[in-house]
Amino acid sequence: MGIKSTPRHVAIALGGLALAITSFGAIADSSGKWSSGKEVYDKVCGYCHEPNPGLAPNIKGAQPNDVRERVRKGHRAMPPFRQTEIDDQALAQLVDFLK
Amino acid sequence: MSKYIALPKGVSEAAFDKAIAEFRKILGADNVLTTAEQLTPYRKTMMPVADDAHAPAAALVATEVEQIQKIVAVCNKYKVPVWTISTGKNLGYGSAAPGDRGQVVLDLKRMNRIVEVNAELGYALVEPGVTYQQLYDYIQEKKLPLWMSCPAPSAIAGPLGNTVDRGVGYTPYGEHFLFSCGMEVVLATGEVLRTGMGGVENSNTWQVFKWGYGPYLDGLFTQSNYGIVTKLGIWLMPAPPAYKPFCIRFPDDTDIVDIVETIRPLRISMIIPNAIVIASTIWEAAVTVKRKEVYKGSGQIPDDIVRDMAKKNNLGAWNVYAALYGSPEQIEVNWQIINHFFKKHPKCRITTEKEEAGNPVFQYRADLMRGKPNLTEFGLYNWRGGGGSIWFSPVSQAMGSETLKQMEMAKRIMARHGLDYVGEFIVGWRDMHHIIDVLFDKTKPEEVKAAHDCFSELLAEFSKAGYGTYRTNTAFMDKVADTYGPVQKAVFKRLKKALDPNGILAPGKSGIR
Repeated sequence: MGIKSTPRHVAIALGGLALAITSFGAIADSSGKWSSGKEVYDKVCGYCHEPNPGLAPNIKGAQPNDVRERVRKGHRAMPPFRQTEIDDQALAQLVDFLK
Repeated sequence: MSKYIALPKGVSEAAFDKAIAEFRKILGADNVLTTAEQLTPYRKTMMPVADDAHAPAAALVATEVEQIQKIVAVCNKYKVPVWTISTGKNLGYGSAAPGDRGQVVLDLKRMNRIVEVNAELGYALVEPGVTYQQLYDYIQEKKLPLWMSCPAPSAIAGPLGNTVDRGVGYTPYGEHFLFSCGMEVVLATGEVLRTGMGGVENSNTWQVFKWGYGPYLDGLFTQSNYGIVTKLGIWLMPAPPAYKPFCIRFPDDTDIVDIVETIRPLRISMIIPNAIVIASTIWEAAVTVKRKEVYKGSGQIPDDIVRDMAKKNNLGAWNVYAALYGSPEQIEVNWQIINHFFKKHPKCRITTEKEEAGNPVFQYRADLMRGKPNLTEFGLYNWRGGGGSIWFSPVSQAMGSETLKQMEMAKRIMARHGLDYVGEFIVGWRDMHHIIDVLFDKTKPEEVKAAHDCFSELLAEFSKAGYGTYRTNTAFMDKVADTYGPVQKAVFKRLKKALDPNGILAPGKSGIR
């Protein structure tokens, strides 16, 4: 099968990995709150509505009422999003971002 | 006429009024949702049943363990059943809707703290509302050398809910429950249980040693209704120095035998370390092709049309996605072993990121195998359109003859109902999760009926053949529970009676009442 044995290089790579890992550590401080309408779009809507992969229509410039209704009620395969996921403030920011 | 859109079974409106008043005292009025408008996002499902059959009586938004302890006390007092959701995005398995009409949804999405990430030991402790996207972003922001494992609809789903429903991902840590460690659970009594080492005062090994002392309890709180899981430890893999995703495409349906026979020894010996996917043509094509673009006839899409679509889109009848992780030298060694075995099958095409550049399907698979969230697999829902989907998920041995038998059985049954076989196998070490998406247009009553009948027949026929279903949607939980025999069902019921005598926690989950 032509397998090459390179133990020295493997050891160096693993040594580097171990060093990298031990130099980090964290107690988390993530709030899970949206910082902007753009963030909601990038982290939720865009996964389907961006041209790549283009699974759902472009919603940039969509009517605010349509956006609000689709977010809360869903539409066909699109799931609805609850207040607990995208609250009214974040939804308003999303609508502004899409204008 | 009731002021509620539904009421819990056996609970009068007057009693429910009192329960709601007490919930408001605990959570504040804004966090007790009862109007039809507020509850709209809790009602929509993708299942082939009327959404009204799963309409909640109310939704409660809790953010603290202490609130949940008080909520279960009220539920016990008024015999109000409560159905807990974490991110509520178990699409195709029930979404955010309760199992039965009239149950109260306990929505834990805002309980979304990443309590701890330990980079040295490679674990995270998370609450129910944390999404995979949130955890991924946290790891990236802090530049931690860790990778998580996530399922396909990962950006909006979360690790706690996915793991306690025993979902899977695509990295070497893809069997998620196996790579979880330590739970915090609110019991129906209001007690807070920390499993395993979490029971020891001042312990710092809760997220590093799974077993604790005495009976191992964590499994009791997966796919069950014995408690409300409020924290979960998950292990995170060290980010490898190098990563090589690849795809192997085979042209014929019957090639699944050669694929599985070739892959099994590579997977069991961990030459290929991750949860490999073997996806059928339509699963692949749906990201870019709609059914109506290739077939306008009635009944199941004919094989020659599927073959033609595969050819035009450079797809296989089966498309195998796997990856190698480690140092470049390790990867090179394993890459040569894999090529050695697959080159015995001249029909197959092996491709890597280089050949697949610009292919959105390869890209989303490559991202998932390194734990980067996306939603591209939702392309499946465009295949037929109309928002109907339920997953039929039998388990198979990792044997070629078995996978072919299951595929042919499923295809034959689905043809009787005019539905297309859209399936994939996710490879464990010795098992395979055979995941079939029963896709239908929920706006068309005849397709809703066909999907429901089809699922019933799939379940009956597969069970008769000895194939159990590893997970199911809320509309079929009782029926699936029956396939596991009366003794298991009786034991589950005895445990339920012991832990939750009033039956307030998610009655009906996994058929347990």
